[in-house]
Amino acid sequence: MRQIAVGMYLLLILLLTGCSAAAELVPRPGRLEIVERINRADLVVVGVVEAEQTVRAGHRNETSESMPLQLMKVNIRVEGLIKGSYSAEQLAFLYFRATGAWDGPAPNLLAPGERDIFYLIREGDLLRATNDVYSSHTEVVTGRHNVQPEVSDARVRETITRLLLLPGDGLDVTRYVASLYIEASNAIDIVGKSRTADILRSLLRNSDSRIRGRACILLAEPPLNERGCLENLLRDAQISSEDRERATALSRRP
Amino acid sequence: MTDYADQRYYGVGSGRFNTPDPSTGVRMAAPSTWNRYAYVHGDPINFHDPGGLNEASPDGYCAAEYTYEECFGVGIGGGGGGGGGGGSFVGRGPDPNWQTGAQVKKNVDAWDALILAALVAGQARQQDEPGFRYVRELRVVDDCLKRQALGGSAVRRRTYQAVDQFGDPYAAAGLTISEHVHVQSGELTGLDSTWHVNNYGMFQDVLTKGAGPDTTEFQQFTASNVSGLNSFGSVSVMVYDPANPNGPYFGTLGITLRQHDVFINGSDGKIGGKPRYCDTPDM
Repeated sequence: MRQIAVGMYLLLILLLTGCSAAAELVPRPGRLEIVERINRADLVVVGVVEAEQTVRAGHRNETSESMPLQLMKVNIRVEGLIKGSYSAEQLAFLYFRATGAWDGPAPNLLAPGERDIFYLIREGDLLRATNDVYSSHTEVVTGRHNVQPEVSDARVRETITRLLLLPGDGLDVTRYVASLYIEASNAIDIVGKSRTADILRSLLRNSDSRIRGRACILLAEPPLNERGCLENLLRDAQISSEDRERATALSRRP
Repeated sequence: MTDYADQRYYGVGSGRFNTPDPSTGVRMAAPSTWNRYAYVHGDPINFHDPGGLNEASPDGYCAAEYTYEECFGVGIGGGGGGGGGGGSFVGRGPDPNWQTGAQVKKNVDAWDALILAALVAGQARQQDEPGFRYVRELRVVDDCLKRQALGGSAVRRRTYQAVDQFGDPYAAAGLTISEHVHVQSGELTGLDSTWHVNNYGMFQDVLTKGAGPDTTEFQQFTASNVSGLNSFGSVSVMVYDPANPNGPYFGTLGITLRQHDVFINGSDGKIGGKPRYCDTPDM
């Protein structure tokens, strides 16, 4: 009985200190490119959103009184650690989001069930997103991957790029192919054109014609400008009419 | 060798008009009209001039360098007030999403000042530098509703791609797109955003009412390239939205943010009344 009472007391202390720490968090609204998020993060994980709840509503941003903010807590199921140290399978972090009418770059919105790469910083005992209000995570549409924690920045970048570009388990091909323009652009920002082209070239051997077709188009388009695959692609009877049309146009370029 | 083109002579070899445009439409606020040797302000894709004295757009949209009064007529206001699903944006009639008065005049004057800088750096260069590229339009390449709601409200996301005068993606590293917003009613978090386009010339604009009141706003875009051979100052750009029933070209986007819908130029973006949810990630 006494052990239970002590346990409850400790839990209460933990909850109170946690709430108190959360109450002191200062919003950091801002937009960060993926590379900046990677560099700033103490912890980078890939995981699935399990739940999200409001910790505190009606917070006003010091830099803009007209921007009402809400402190949110997100619970995720960790599928892989990419940077930093963390051992549990569950993780919770905090972020501020704007609640009013919005017109601009993507705000920080999450939905239970979605798989994302999260870039987190430690503040006391809490974890919070690298930036508030604007998007601070990267959605992964390639399915599930096995990843290992990496030490060097270069390996962290490589792991994230592979997560974004290479098919994993449970892939939704339609969604993946539709997202490749965005992900290839992200990859160029993260690891550069040469490495992005290497990874796209590996997709030319994929058994799915939709993936082969889109990978070749992305290689042939500026800024990569590698048109070597177009000839084979145009001989591929399985590619979509959309990819064929684009490949034909690209192959006619001087 | 020359051809007579109704009102003036065209040099076939040089690809230029040899005599100036006899029309009198020079306007200080529209620098592209200063060049009397150009055809439809150097934009034959979007304009034509069948009579030789005026440009007319095959799609009926109004060139962005015109003032509000020139484009939509003076003293015409209100109309549908942007009531989502409201008036047509086609042609040179009044745009129901703009109101006349000092507010609009101020916006339009600021707009013209931006465009003034564009001519010298932009369209004039287009005449003299064959390799010069400029952003002809922002093409809507994806328009969807996000599965995540904000404050219980629908969230609409538009993906644009900057396209040059040849119809190719314009993806210069120095290219930024700026959004100029006028809130007519309600309120908006943050104003006048700026984007760097990605490596394929794309950027995304996300719109929602959130937990705020219903909001009506008007939006215009400018493009600016700060570096490289194709650098140019802030230039207004049209939005090309092929799926919009009132479109496809818009200089001004009239936007109404409501609980369950985000209307853009009278369209809620749904197909047959059904929402199309985003299947690509945010940039």
